[in-house]
Amino acid sequence: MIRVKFWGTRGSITAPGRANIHFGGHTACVEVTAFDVDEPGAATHISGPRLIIDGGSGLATLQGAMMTSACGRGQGELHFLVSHYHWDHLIGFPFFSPMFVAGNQITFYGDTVERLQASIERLFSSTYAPQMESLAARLDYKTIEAEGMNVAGFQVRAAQNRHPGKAMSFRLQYGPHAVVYSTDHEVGDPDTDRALVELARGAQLWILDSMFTPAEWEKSQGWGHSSHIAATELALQAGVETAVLFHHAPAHDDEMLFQMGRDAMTLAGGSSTTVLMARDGLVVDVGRQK
Amino acid sequence: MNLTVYGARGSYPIARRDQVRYGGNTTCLHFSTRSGHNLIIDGGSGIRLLGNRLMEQEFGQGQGEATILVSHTHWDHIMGFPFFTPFYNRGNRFVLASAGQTGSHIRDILAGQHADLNFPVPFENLVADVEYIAFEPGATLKSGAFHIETVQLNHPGITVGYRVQADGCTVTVFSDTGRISRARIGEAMGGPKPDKVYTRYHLDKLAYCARASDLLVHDCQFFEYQMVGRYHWGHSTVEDALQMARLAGVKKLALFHFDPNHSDTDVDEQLVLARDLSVGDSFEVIAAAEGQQIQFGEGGGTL
Repeated sequence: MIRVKFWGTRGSITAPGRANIHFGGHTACVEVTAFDVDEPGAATHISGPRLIIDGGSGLATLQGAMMTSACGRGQGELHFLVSHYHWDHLIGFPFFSPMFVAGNQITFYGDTVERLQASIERLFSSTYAPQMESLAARLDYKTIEAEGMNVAGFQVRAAQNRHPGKAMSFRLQYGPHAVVYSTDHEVGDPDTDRALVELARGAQLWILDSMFTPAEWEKSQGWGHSSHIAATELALQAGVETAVLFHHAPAHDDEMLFQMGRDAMTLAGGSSTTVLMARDGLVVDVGRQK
Repeated sequence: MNLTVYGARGSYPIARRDQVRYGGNTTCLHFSTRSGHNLIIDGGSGIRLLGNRLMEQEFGQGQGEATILVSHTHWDHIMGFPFFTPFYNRGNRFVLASAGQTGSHIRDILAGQHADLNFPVPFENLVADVEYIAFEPGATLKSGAFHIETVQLNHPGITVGYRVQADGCTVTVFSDTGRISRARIGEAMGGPKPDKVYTRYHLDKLAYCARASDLLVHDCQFFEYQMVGRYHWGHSTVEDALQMARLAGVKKLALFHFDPNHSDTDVDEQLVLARDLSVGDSFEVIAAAEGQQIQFGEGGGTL
C-alpha cells in the first residue's frame, strides 16, 4: 500500500486566508510512504520507504511531525524528489528544521546536480536567509536517471513536462502500486502529453497540474500550467483509478475550487476514474484492501 | 493618514486554520495620506493582496505612484514582490528604498528572485518605472508626502527601522529586531560583547527614532521561554516591545511579526500579557492583524 499525504497543494505563492480554509494555502509538498502491512495501524509507525516530492511551503506543517521522531534526534534519512526549481517548490527549505540537526541525512534528486544545488544554495544565501543556525545535516545531491532508479525503496521513473525552464513528472512504483506526480505541466503538446500518459498508464493515482479554468488558460498559454478540464481529459486517457487535481492558483478561493471540482467530476462521470481536488491535509491510500 | 495591515506574520507564510484572525501572510504595511500618497513597508507575501487592491485604482490604469521601503531582504520581507501586479503595469511609478544587504544592492537582490532557474517571469517584465534608492541606515529620506527617518535594527545583516511622518502623524516600524542587551548581531552594531554602555547607546538610538510616535509597530515573535538559545536570532518578545514603547514614549504599540508556529490563541495570549504588563503605562497595546485598518486623526493620534 502507498499512502500519499498532501501538505501543500497551491501553486505560485502561499495563499493563507479565511476564503481558502478548506483547500489550504501552502505550496507544493507531497509525502509518499509505502507500507508492506495493509492495516491502518501500520501507519502509526513510519518505517516503510518514504520520500517527499517538492519542498514548497507545505514543508512547514510536515516538519512538526518529523521533529518528534528520528529527524529530531539526528537519525533522520530523508529523500526529496524536486520536480523543478521554481521557488514555490523550494521555499519551505530555509526553515525546514531537520536540515539544522546534525546527523540527519538529506538527499535531493533533480534533473541535474548543478541546477539543483545552485537553487538550494541560493535559497540559503545570507542575502535572503538569516543563517541563524548552521546547516548541520548532511546534504547530498543526485541526478534523476530518467530510465528509472531506486529512491528510498521506490522505483522512480521521470518524464519531461511542458513548462518554462523545464519540470519533471515522476512515477513512484512500489510493488503492484504506482503514483504519478505531474506538476507543473501545460497540456497541449501531443508528444509530451503522450509520454506522460504512458508514464501514468497502469498507475492507481495521478496528481496533475490544474491551475487554471479554461478561460484563464486562454490568456495564460505558455505559462506551463493546465486547466482542470484539460488535466481531467489527460487522466481519462491514461485510465488511472484516481486523478488528483493539484497546484491551485493563489487567487482561487474555496468556492471557486469547489466549482472546478464539480466540473471535473462531471466530466469524468461514467468513466472508471475518480477525480479528487487536492487540499492541504488530504490523505489518499493506494492499494488498500477494500 | 491610514494604515492597512496586509501581512503580520514573520519568518515564512503559513496557512493553518487556527491562524486566520491574525493571518498567515508575511509582512506588508500600506500607508495612504489624505492627499492620496501611498507608502508600503516590505514586500512579504501579503503584498500580493495589496497589489490586487491597488490595481482596482489608478495603478490599474498605469497612473499609480507609491514609495516602497524595504526593512531588509530576507525572504519573508521580499517574497511577494514578484506577485505585486502594479510592477508589471507600464506607467506606474515607484520609489523603492532599501539599505540592501551586506555587499548587495537592492536592485540586484530583487532581480535575483527572478533568476531563470527559479522564477518563470523575467525581471525585465517589471515595466513600471522603479527608482531604486540605496541608503545607509541613519539616513533621512523624503518621498511624496512622507518624511522618513531610519535606524539600524538588531538583526543579522543589515535591517532598517523606519519612522514615517505624514499628515501630522508618526508611525514607527521596528521589524525585525532582537534584544540588544543579549546579543548585538546587526552589522556595525557590534562590540566585543554585550555591556551596559553599548546596550544603552543602541536602545537610546532606537528610542530616539520612535520618539513620541502615534503608533509603534514592533517585532513580537517569541514568548520569553522561546528566547532561550535564540537571542542571536534578532527577534523580540512582548517584554522587549513594551520596553521600547516606554523608552520612546509612544501613544500606541502594535505587536507584529508573529512566529509562524503561533496560533491565534498564542497571539491572543501575547496581547493579554502585554496589556497586563503595561497597566499604568500611558500607551495602549494592540496586536496587528491581517486586514486591519488603523486611522489616524488630524495632527496625530489613532481614531
